[in-house]
This record gives sequence, structure tokens and C-alpha cells, in this order.
Amino acid sequence: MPPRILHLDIDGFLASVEQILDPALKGRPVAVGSGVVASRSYEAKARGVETAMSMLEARRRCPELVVRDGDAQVVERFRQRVAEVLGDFVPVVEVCSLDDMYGDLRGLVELRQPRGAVELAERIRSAVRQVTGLSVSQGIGSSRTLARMATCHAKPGGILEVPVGEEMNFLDSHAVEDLPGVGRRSAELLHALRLHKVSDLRRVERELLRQTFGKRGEDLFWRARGFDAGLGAEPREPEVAATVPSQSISRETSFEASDCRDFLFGMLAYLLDRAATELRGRELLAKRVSLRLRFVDGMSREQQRSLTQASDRTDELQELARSLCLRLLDERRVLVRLLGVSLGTLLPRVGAQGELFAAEEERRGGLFAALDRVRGRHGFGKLVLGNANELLGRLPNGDQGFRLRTPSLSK
Amino acid sequence: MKILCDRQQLQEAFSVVSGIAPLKTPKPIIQNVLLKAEGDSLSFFATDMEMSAKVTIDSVKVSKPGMALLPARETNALLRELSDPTLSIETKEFRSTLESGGGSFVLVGDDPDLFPKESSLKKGQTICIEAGRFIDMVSKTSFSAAREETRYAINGLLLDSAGGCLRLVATDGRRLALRYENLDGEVPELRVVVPNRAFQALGRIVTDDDTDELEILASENQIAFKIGQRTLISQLLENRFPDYEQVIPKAADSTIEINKAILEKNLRRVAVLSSGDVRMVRFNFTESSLELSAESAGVGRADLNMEVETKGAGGAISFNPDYLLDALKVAEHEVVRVDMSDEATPAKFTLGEAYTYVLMPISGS
Repeated sequence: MPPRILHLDIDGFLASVEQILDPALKGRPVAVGSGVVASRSYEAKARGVETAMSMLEARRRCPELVVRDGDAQVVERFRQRVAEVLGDFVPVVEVCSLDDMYGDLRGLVELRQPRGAVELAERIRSAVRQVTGLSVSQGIGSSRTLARMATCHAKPGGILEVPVGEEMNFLDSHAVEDLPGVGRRSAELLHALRLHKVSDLRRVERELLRQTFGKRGEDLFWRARGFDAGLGAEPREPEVAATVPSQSISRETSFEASDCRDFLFGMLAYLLDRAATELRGRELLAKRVSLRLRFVDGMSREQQRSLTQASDRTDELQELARSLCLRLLDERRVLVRLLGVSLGTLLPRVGAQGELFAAEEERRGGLFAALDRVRGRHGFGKLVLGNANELLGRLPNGDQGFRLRTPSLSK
Repeated sequence: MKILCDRQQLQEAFSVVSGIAPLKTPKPIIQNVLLKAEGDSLSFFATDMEMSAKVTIDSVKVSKPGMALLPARETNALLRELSDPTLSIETKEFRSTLESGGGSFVLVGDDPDLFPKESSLKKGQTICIEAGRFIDMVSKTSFSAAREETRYAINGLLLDSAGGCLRLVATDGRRLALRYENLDGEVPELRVVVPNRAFQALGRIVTDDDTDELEILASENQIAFKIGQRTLISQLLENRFPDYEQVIPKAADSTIEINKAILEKNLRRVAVLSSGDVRMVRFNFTESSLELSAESAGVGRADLNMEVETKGAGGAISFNPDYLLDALKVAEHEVVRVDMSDEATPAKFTLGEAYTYVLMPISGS
């Protein structure tokens, strides 16, 4: 059976959530973020406000812009509800980033009808609107790459299917920067090589792409043919969810610029605790910890390190993250305005290396399992762990944890 | 200070000691080696504040006794390049001039009086063992010590002596290597944890064919290794070493005897296709055969059969192949014995008369 992938993107997610929570904002230009625009409503877009634009510039273009901080926990609940609705229609769902997810349509009876997939997407769209009030755009294709590109044309609120056999024609109508994974820098480089359209890119030999772009070149080679490919890998049958585990679990937030180490380490402890809790909830182990800081002068620094043995224990991951943070802070004595932590190289907990001195390990592992149970029952914020104590009194705290300024619940 | 001596002898002594001097330190003076000339001998001393090494050489012509500090890295590199049989060093105002084969090299040191003093070991317990035998024990165990400090396991080796038996034990929490030697004469009771680094440094001072006697002297918080005119002193780790005897299986459901060389070769082949993230090879034992298999999602699969002798029920168990290969590489017996039960119980590998390796399987595979 040929693969059929549906890609769903929530339109202006963070801003839409604000409009749903506060009906007075309906029809008004809304932006969410601090410092930079993380999300904006379509009304704001019509006035020239773009994502990643500085808030200053956004206000200049649209003086009546309503700016909100956003609430990570509320946003997460909305996202979960959208994923649940999608899960009612398709067998496997993979939540991909803050506002988009994939569904695997393979094996669905609807596909036997000529317009079956589109009709299914229409039903998903109205169910999402009914349950959450959110508007979604959807794309359908034979790979993630094609489904994702189709979604871009369907925005806002539309549906586009790339029919079987039409893939090449669809791709050829696109510029190279429309391919997923081609950022501004790659696009500039491709244009400099006089490669403007996807069809131009397809004419370049695989080896040449590899030599020019390294492993990403392989990726470009396959994407230009409508396939998905892991970095440097042969194209795979597009598979969703269960077989394609997410690559990392990250938490990050911005805050009032600070160089107070107690506060920064407190924030790090809190974000890592949240990421590690999700890690355990998904029965995964992480091998790599990365840390990102953004300073007031706009510079960013990132550090990562691996454990010799993957772990899901907050204390072990914390220790590594702390040492990375210390190194970054010592490197640059500038106020910090954003901190992000990411757990990578995720492995399933089954097939885990056993411990010789298990009694001791279990005692510690058991502590975190008990912690997760208590939080599951009474709310994440009911228990504040270690250094995160430093945030008490500095940030608003509720049952669901501290209220952070900019939510980022990425993959 | 002014001396004349055999260049090669000096170079060997210097390179042994200079390995202790740290490359990076907030205290730059310890990046030097202290030379002290008196009588007809010359001693070399270096420290990183946790560990120190001292080597003395004789038959040196000392024209003017005294001390000098020489930068460890540069002097070592320079000595390696020289080829004349003799070498003279003259130090004035912290500047040392090395002359050999018509060349003259000036090295700027520091004030020897500011250099940390040699620590002397307060009275402790002494164990004597042939140096080569001890180094062999180290090479059979130290690879199992933990490399991270975050885990419960520690990056040191346990030196445990009791009842005339000296044991060296290392573990990273997933595997454990134990090698022992029975010693003649009276052996004091001792149980100390020595940092792995100290053994690496000892490996530079002693070679495994060294038949000289190694004197191990342990006090409450320091340990000294003395062989002839070479001494290494290290701080001890304060960690509590886990109760290792409790994890060495006393009984097993199955016992298998396998030719070491064949197992090593086959395991290496199969391990190629064990995936990069979770390194795992499955061992499937029947009465007369062992099947090794590994799989790497999206890459391929390996299956390999070999003849073995199994006593007991047989069964299946998975291991990280790297952990096992590390041990097979240094195994002493040609036929190794495996005692195993199930995937929740450690397996015991008998790799030599006095050499045991315990490995925890991978569960839930």
C-alpha cells in the first residue's frame, strides 16, 4: 500500500489560543512573545506583523497590536486536545513541534474513495474547531516532505492534497527555499549556485550535493524528489509516530535579563525537571544534554555533552546540564535573557543496560517515579525540586508549575 | 646547580615524572619539574597537588649542588630531540642552560623554594609484590572503572587485602572486574580506593615485565608506590566502594565453556550490526551451540552459530558487546567459562585462575 501522510498545522497557534481565552480579542491583531514575535493572529499578519520580528518593529507597523506573554501550560493543553482529535480519525499520530503534527493514513478505508483523504481532512478540521475553537491547515501527500509543503498552500484553514502521480509537477512549481529544512543560509548558497527551483536542484548529482552541503546534501537530494530522509540516509518509507520517535525533548523560556546565578540555575533546574518528567512519562532515556543561552546583546551560545549511559534521572541529567551552564556563564559575562535545555539521543527504556548494584540505583530511580506519581495526582507545581526553589517568589507559581513567559514546547 | 650526566638516563627519568605535571592549572608553578642535585645523585619531582612522582638517578657528576625548576613540557620535548650521550645543566637565577652535542638551550623556570614540598607518607601498612605482577593486575581491571562521576560507581579501583590475598576490583556499575594474587609472608589487611589516574601514572613508571619489588604503602588518606628509586604518591578517594562480593553470582542455571579466541572473533563480527544507540548482542545457548545475533534497525542483521559445551538449561541473554570484548581482550585462559541465569541476574565470566569478570545483561530485549 502506498504511504499517505497527513500534515496538520494549527493556524497562528499561540495567538489563536489568546483569542479563544479572551473573546474580546477576536478580530483584533494579537501577537504573543516577549522581545520577538513568537506567534501572531491573521489580523496582525494582514498589518505586516511577521513571526520572529522584533516586538518594537511589530508595534511600529501595527500600533494597536495586542501583545500577550502566553502560557505554556494552557498552550500544551490545547495542543494535546488537537492531537487527541486527530487520533480519533487516524491510527498513528506524531506530534512534531509546537504547532504541527503528522498522521499516517495508510490502511484507512477512506483512501479507497477518490476524494476520501480530503473528506477525512474536512472532518478533522470541523472536529478540531468544534472541540478547541482552533483553525487548522492540512496537507496530504505520499511523504512528510510533500504533506508539509502542501500545508503551506492550504493556509489558513484550507486543505490541499498532492495526488498520487502528481508529485513531481507539484515539486517543480516550488522554489528551493520552499523545501522543508532549507533555511535562509542554505537558500542563499543554492541561489549563488544558480539553483532556484526544485527542478534545478534535482538535476544536481548526489555526490556534488554531498560535497557542497555535507550530510545535509543527501537530505536535499532526496527531498527534491519528494522523499523523506534522515540526515545522510537512504530515503525511508515515510512512517509516523511509533516507529519514528522524536529526536529530542526541549524546554526553553525567556525572562527579564539576569546574571544572577541562583536565578539562572534555578530556571535551569526547573526546565530540566519538566523535560525529564516528560522523558520518563514517555518511557525514554536520554543520552545527550544540550543547553542554550541567549544574551541581551543577541548572541547565543550552545553546549552539549553526552552521558556514557543513557538516563532518565533528573539528578544525573541535571548535573551534566549544570556543568554546561557553568562553562557558558564563565565564558561570557553578559546578562542572559533566554535559557533552553534539550534532551537528545532518545532511546527506548526497554533493552536497557542492567545495573549491578541495582538496590542503590532503584532507590534513587524510585524517588523520581514516586515524584512523578505525586505530580500526576496533585499537579506539577505541588513539588518544587532542588535549585528550582530559587524561582519561588520570583515567578508566579500555580498547581501546574511556574508561569513562564514564552512557552516553547518543541519536539 | 651544575651537573653532568648520561642524557638517556636523564631523559627517561624526566619523562616519567613530567607526565604528572598538569597541562592546565590555576597554579602555573606546578607545570615545572623540580630537579635537586646532591652527592652524586639527581632527583626529579613533579606534582599536580593530588598526585606526585619522584625519581632519583645516580652516577651524576654534581659540580655544584642545588635545585632548579624546568618547564615540564618544553624540557621533555627538547630532551627527546637530543642525541649526544651526555648532557650538562647549569642553573643561575632560575634560568637553566642545557648543553649537549654542541647545542645550548636556555629554559626559564621559577623559584624552587616556591614549589610545593614533597609530601611524606605518614606511617601506614605495607604490601610487597613483584612490580610486573601488580601492573598485570591493574591492566586486567582498570578498564572497568567508571569514567563519569555522576554515577554511583566510582572512578577508582579498590585495593583489598586480607588473609594473604591481594585483590584489585573495578566497577562502573554495569560490569565488575576482579583480579587477585596470593602473596607470601604476612600481608596486612587493607581496603582503600585508589583513583584510576594513579594507576595510569604507575603504568608509566613500571612496565609489566619488571621483576623488581613494588612496595605499596597506604596510610589513611594517601598511598605510595615505591620501586627502586621511583616513588608515586597519590591521594586516596574517600568514596565508599560498593559491596562487590554480593554481586558476584554464587550459583547459575547454566554453565558454558567457550574458546576465547573464537568467541572474541565472532562477537566482533556480529557486533558490527548491533545498532549504534543501544549496543546489544543476543546470546542464545542450547546444549551444544551458541547463536549470536544482533540487529540494527534499517541497517541489517547478523546471526552466527558456534559450537560450545553447555551444562544446564541454556537460554537467551543479551549483553553490550563492547563490555565483553574489553574483557576478552585481556582474558588469560584459552577457554573461558560463563555462568549465567537470566536477564535480571549478572553473568560471571571466569577469564583466568584468579580473574573474574561480572557483567550485567541488557533487560527487556
